Amino acid sequence: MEGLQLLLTGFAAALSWQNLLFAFIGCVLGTLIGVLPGLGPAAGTAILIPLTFKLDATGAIIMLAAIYYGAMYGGTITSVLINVPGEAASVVTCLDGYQMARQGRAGTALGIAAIGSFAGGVVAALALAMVAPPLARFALSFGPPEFFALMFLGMCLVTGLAGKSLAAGLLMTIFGLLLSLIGIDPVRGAPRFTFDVPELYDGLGFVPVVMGLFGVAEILLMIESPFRQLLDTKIKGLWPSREEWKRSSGAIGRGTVIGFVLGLIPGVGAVIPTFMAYIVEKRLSRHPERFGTGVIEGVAAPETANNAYANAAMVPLLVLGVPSSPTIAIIMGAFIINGLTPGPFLFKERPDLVWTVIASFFTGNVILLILNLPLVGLWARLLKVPYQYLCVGTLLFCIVGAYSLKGTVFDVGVMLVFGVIGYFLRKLGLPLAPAVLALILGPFMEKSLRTSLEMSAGDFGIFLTRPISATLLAGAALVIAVSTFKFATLKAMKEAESK
Amino acid sequence: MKRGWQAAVAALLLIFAVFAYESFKLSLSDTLGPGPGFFPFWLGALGAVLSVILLVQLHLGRVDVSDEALVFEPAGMRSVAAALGGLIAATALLDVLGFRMAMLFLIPFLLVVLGARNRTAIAICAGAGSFGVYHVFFDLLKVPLPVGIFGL
Amino acid sequence: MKTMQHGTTQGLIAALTAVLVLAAGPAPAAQYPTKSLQLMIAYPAGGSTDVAARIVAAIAEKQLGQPIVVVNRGGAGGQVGWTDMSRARPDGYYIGFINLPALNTVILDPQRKAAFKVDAFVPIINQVLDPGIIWVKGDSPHKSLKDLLEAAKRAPNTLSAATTGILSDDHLAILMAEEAYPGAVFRIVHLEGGAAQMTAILGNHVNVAFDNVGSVFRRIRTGEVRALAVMDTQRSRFLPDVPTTPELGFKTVISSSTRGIAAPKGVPAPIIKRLEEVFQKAMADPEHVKKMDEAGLALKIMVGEEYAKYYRELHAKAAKYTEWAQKRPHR
Repeated sequence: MEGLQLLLTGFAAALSWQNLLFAFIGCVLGTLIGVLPGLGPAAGTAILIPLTFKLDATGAIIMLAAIYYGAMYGGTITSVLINVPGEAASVVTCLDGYQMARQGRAGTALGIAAIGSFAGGVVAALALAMVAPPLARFALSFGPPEFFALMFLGMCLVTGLAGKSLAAGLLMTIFGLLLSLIGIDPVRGAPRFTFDVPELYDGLGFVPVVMGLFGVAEILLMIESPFRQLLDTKIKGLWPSREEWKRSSGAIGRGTVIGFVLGLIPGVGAVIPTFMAYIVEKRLSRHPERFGTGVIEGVAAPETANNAYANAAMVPLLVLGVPSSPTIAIIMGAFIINGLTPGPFLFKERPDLVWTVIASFFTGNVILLILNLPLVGLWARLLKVPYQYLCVGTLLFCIVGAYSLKGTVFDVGVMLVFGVIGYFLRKLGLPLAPAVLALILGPFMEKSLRTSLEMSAGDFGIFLTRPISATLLAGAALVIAVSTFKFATLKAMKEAESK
Repeated sequence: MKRGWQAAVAALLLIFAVFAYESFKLSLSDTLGPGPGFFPFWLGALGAVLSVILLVQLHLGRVDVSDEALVFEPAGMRSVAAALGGLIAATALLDVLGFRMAMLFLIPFLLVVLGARNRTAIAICAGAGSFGVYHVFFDLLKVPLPVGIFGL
Repeated sequence: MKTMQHGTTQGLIAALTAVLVLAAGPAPAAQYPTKSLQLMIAYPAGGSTDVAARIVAAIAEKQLGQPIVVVNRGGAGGQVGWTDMSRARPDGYYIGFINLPALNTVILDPQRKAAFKVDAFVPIINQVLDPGIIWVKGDSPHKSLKDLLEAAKRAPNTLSAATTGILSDDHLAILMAEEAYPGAVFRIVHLEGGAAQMTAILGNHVNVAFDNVGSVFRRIRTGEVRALAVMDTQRSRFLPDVPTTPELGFKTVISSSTRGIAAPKGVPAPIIKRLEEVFQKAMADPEHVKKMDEAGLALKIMVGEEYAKYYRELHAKAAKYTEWAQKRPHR
């Protein structure tokens, strides 16, 4: 296979000590960027572009790509340790990862995240090398109607799994969707629900809201009942049990596939794969009710998915010349500044560069694993700090994080408001996940809906006449039917029992 | 817990109604298709209807709400209120006092509210959290944190 | 006695003057800048404006003597960033890129409720003029601009044309094309940015795209996509084989996106002068010229009053088409 041969040549170059060094620096910086508040991968990579002026093109791109998938892992660290997701892709990991940390198993959570990320990343890189071009062409058939259908399906899946009450899940979803629409309407340009507050023109800001709902709310809960602090500060060993390994390996396998497939579609974003992987795992599990209390698959699935996604997201860039997300757009900018045009032409003109970069994904993933696995114990030890200092430290972390996003105190205020809201939601047992997913997907869903209608001149039938979107919507209908059925039967059973 | 849910759903009902009303004021549709108010209006309307249904169900006791009571520990609530108060004050004054000064006050305040007693530890944290963090972010990472009217 | 009094008065006057001068406000131009500058870009990182801005900032800061920190404030088609700049302190330490006609349409569109007007910004120097381009997929049945317009006339509101944003220069260009070929009506689809257009065209979701040369010229060179026309008065250096709209008989269809640096109103004239000098020198620098050439971005340097005049003229032109866009039955 020609691909394999080119890959091997790429390896020869990727294993040069300079390129290994760049990958290493990228991984370190990426992890740091993921851990540090407010410096999402986009901001971090943007800051580092000037650095890349001084390196040769290949080295620069290797480093930027390493920063990108390194940051995916860095975000996990804060999710697990303090329930603060550094960026969108790490939100789902909070659900079970943080619970594991509270049980003294932070090390295990981080460890399986590292291993899952590695597995997902390597398989994705391999698949990228083998079948990138044809798969990329397929991904092109996703237009606005297909996006809408995909996101609608995602929303149905999450809502249907929202714990005890379907109605509560629905309400939370709608709440999240409405919040996401605050700001200047992206299609018509009209400010919506901004009440003349200019800081709201760009919307509420996903990061402050989520930092509030998860991080600050958790702290408030901890302050109220100190017994909520770590149930067990003794670190219970770093390795998962045999049974957990078995469950994790399934999760890792499925997470890789989900992350990879979704990564190929330009414009999907890192959040959907993590949510999907988590939900699929929950549905397939024999004990779905245990999700959210600290099950290892709840960490393995999304973590694998997001690293597989990050590696696969390079495909649209390299093969089609289309960036999948703002961070990858920055990497593309790096290409352009160095006088290169990502796309099929680059494959033909500079195969040396492209295949070296692809090979560097492998080396980068290995480096990431080697870097992070030993540190896992160190991170876990951070939790042994007395709870007052941990709380204050986390709050400081959140404040700086929220502020440094746009340099306004407004975001800190938003975070506090949602901290209070999250506090009440948690106390009441209302589900956060549907609201969070809705918050991210809301604008995309609306934009896809309206762009689809522009394409069809107002005809709603466009969603049903196109095969892919029709299939996805049928899937959504199925999910709705099954969930309603499930809830109805459960209720009937309960009523029968109590009679 | 039931009362808590009723309160929460009632609050949501209000929020949905406000969104629906505001969207109605924007154009719901023009010649080509949905306008800016279309999507949020229907969402708000749907949400409001669902909230009403849920409120009715709660009232009739048909919803399986957890039996545990909504517990608000008085001592804990005092701490939460104090901590929130401190946070809100610090945030409001962040631009006036500047990051360093605001944190210099906030950190010891919070630590004491939470029960820390070791003065040296508190002092060190206050210093590191205010000046330390500021300089790491500004000098190393080039991320500016607020500077207040006192130049701090 | 009198001499001493005179001397004391003189001394007093001198002292008073000194105090007044020192208290007068911003430092005189000779001392500016004393700290780093923020250069704001109203779009996310990685786009054409961003790439060009970073290239010039890296060169200009050497001559300026202080770092120029590029800050991305994307959102709402630029409105977020420009609102920010309009409210910034006019001390010369916050400047930003303005994109025309995007800025003009933001001000002109009543729905947007922009918080600033035309005079909120002082144009300093323009960097890029990226001409508009009409392009289709490589295997598209439309072989020329005339073909396309004829097809849009025969089946009005059937052919879909993509823009990079509502009321962007591309949107206005579509309207200009319709005006120049009465009867032709496109189904206008607003996408977000050039990348979305590329997927939409390659995936056959839209028939034709209106964008700018800098975003798409490389893919045209490879043949995957085909350019029908460049909407400028002269052929693009990067695409010498593509005809211009005047050549094809459509001399009113001229559209482009210009990007230049501006400051909030109220920045003292000496500081503006210094910025003009520094950036003009930076843009003339051979390294800048070379990098911009590689990026496919055509330079059109307009400084000071020349730029301000262009800004005002473009505003008037944009007003005409913005109004038409609102009235158009198929928006």
